[in-house]
Amino acid sequence: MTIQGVNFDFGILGPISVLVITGLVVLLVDLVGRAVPRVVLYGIGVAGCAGAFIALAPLYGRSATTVNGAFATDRFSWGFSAVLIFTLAVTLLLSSLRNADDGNSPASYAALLIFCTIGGLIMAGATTLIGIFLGIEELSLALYVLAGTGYPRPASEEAALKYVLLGSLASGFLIYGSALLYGSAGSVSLSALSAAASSLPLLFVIGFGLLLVGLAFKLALSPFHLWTPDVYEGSPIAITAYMTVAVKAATFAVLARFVYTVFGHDSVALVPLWLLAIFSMLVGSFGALRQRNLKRLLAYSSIAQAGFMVVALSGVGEYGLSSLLFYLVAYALMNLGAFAVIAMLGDGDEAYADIDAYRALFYRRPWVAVALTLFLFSLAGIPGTAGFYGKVLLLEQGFAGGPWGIALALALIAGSIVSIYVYFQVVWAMFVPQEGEQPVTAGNSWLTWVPVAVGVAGVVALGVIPQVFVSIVSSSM
Amino acid sequence: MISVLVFLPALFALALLCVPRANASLLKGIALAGALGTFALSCVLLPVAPAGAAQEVSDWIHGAVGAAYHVRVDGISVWFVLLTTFLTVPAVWAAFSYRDLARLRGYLVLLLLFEWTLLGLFTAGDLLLFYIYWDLMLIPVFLALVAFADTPSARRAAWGYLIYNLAGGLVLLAGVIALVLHTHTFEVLNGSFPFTPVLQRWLFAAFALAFLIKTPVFPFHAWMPAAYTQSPSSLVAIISGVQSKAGLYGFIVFALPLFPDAAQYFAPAMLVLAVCSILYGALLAIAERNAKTLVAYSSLSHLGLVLLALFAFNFTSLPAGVLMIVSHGLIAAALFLLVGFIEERTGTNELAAFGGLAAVAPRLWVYMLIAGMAVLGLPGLSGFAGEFLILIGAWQTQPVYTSFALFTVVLAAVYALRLLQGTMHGPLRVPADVPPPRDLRPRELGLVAPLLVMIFFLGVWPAWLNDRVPAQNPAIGHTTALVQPR
Amino acid sequence: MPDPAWTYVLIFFVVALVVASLIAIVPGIFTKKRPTPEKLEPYECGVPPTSAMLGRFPVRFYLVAMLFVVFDVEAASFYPWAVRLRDLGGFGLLEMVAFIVVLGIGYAYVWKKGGFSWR
Repeated sequence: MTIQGVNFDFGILGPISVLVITGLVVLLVDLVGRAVPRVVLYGIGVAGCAGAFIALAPLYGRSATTVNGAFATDRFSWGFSAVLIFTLAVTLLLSSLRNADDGNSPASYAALLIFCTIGGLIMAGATTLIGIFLGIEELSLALYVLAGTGYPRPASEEAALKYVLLGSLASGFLIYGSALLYGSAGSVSLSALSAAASSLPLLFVIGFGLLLVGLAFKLALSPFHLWTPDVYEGSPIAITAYMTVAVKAATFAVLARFVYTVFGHDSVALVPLWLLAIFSMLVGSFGALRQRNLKRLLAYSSIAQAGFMVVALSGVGEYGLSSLLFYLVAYALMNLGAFAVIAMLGDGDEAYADIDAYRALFYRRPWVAVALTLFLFSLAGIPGTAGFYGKVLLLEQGFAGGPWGIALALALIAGSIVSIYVYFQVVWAMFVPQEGEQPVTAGNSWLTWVPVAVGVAGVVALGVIPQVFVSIVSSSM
Repeated sequence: MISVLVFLPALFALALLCVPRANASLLKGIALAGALGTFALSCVLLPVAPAGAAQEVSDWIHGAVGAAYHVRVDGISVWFVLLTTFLTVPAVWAAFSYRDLARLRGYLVLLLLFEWTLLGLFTAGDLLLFYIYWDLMLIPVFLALVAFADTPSARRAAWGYLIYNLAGGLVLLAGVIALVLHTHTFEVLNGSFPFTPVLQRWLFAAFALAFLIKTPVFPFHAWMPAAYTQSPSSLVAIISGVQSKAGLYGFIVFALPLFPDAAQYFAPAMLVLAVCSILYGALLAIAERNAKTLVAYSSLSHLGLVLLALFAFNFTSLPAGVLMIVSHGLIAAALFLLVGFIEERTGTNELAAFGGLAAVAPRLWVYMLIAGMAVLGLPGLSGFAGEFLILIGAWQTQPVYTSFALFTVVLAAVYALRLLQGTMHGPLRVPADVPPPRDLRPRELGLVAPLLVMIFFLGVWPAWLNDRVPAQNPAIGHTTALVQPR
Repeated sequence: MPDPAWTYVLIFFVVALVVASLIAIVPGIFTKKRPTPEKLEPYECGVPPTSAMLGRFPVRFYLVAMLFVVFDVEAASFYPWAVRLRDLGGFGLLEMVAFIVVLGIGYAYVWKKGGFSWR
């Protein structure tokens, strides 16, 4: 329907609307009820995720825009939205554990998480610079607070402060870059920018450079990654899991849409992006080598993985978007699965953040150890897992993407070789038999078994029969 | 049918997991039944040997680069399949004496899974499938070294094994992807693809690096001594007997037919590496003080000889290479198992710590004698046939390199006799805290016997195998066709 | 030559710069300076300063400041909406109602959770 010259399609905006209502309902329930248990509040959130997914499902395969072309739905944004909603549901499940940090204010915690995800959904569909910035800010502002919900753990406060300071700086870069881009094209819509992208005026180049810096901050691409290890280590486990997947998914949606809509072909202006990716793969892999804290290890690993994902865009090829989406889904499954295991063993607290806690885990909790092993194999790209086929797709893009693509692909190989030790040292610790009695951990909540089981099934299915999934994500924008 | 064969060991491994850990006899029964059943099933494939082929193809992945689930067995790969299934039986049987009964189940599961990945590799008709098994086979060995070898040095050896081979694997992956971007399919076997010479060389280099690491060949063998020495003997029998052939198999089936020009280009380098491995491995074996490591180095030397056979591009040496592969698999497995029996009795493999076992263990002595003579290349045993045919064939095209390789005959005699003499002859010496060793038990006699029988059989009738290796196989026919005019 | 429409912006900037400079500079030239201790103190809405400027003060100030900003911005967004209300029609009204409802829930939540009480 069209109102005052603005056309609205509430079908396309459905998932966002459902989540907005869910967030408000969570707040209202807490407002009306007396000491509502957090399982109820998070349950409402998970139900909202189901609702959002139901609203999202009919959009599959549709390609349309609304709000006068400012917000789009297509197969690409559909995939990212599905990942975001899934991540939200998993995070809510992990947050409901007995010892989970949520700052003793479950309603605002859940509402913030939901609003965060709305920001992500806006980013996935935004086709204008303003929409992109709006989404990024909504996502970031809520996350700054969530990173600090581990209060009074000092690490959590430190994480929140570092995140808000550096994140605001990144937002400054973003908005300044957007302004310059607007100046160069005279329009905020991405499709209007493509004209400027073909001739690359100075204003556009500077603007894109600043925008790239801002996005690289959010993606934790090296050398803009310095906040990542501390923030990921300090935040509550569920929030760390959310940050590694959701922020990455949403920001990659923006980056990919920008690259494909504005450039649409390989361009010299993208060289900084390739350099960032190469640097990230090496820094992330080498940085992870010496980490003994699993959250920190996965933080460095996520820097490298973000670099891997950029390889999908190299050459701006026909299958780039579907490769990116495939790897992202694989990454969501394996990373959330790994975090679910960490959260499960400590029943939500940090007891299992250190690698030493995993020694001989296989002999104490064999199934948990096998599940974590599978996730780590997938992260390392061992064949038969989702991560492996994802890497095959990335390498296909890389080697087909000209000289820079080949450089990216080779960096991916080098990064993977380095990270063998990173992931296998955890496997090693879990399988080394140990003399003497080991404490058997209590953490065994079924709430965490759900994401672990989904992760295992997904990682194996995507690894063994990727075709099922390739046909779903093969997207055209 | 081929798929059934490949997945049969994995199914038995799953069955093992359903049996309670305490029920050792049932576990042993199921594991041995799995190994025997797989071997019996693989014998059905023997008729494809000279020129036939059996294959199954089904849809797998479409997209930018398609892949099919394609398994196949032809006149070359059938020998690798048979070697795998044949060697797994004694290996599983030997594993029954694993010291901690409570963990026997996990170890047997890993052995069967290892067999599954090896069979998958040798039957893969699709490059993606080949690569999947190429990496996957490292996992059971890594886990076995970490969880079941029970020494700190074994756990360190696991790192060398994993990182070397996985790094090689990732380089191979780069080569595979760069290759399929030009073929647009992972089904590269039966097609000929025009690559530019430069591309061919890069791809060949990527493939060759991975293959040389896994074989291993000098100078990529740094992971080998520790991994071979620290593995339980039942495991190293398969690693040395079968897995070490995976790289050579990759050369025969993929690298040589796909990149014939690059193979020519790199042949001198490969021949130098082959000769270095032959001589360096033999010299190290002579100087080695640990029986298991000695056998490992002899393995390095013998596989260098096979590499020489492949890159001499000769009609005689290439099929002889396959004969040598099978023969070395049998001999190495037999020797490692026997050395393992000694280790179970004396608690060590250091040659300085024990000796003169022939006095108390005559049957062990007979077995060691046969296996040792086979390593040495005594005519009438399989080792001789392979070596002799390779050297004859390679001499025709590469006399210089072959003349260096000839030294292996002398050097092998030195280390084989040293092994025999050091372990078996002389006055009886055992470590102080060890009871006098017992002779081989019936189980041990029985499980090595088939290997020795086959060593004899191939020694007196090598043509049975040699004639069944097809001269017209696309792989072998292709490469030799390029070389003959010279 | 840039778009002439931008000339007005340029003029605006120039005028702003000139006026601000004048206000800052002219009094300095024409007035007599009679400094007293009171005059040299930092200006705090006429209230005598109670502590050093860089001293510590309760974090609640921030909370109040943030809540103030939220409702301040809300109020600011009413002005353009009110000016254009006739054109926006019923939909504009509905949209503002939705906006206020969302904000109202937040307001109620803050109230209930004690965000406005000074402790």
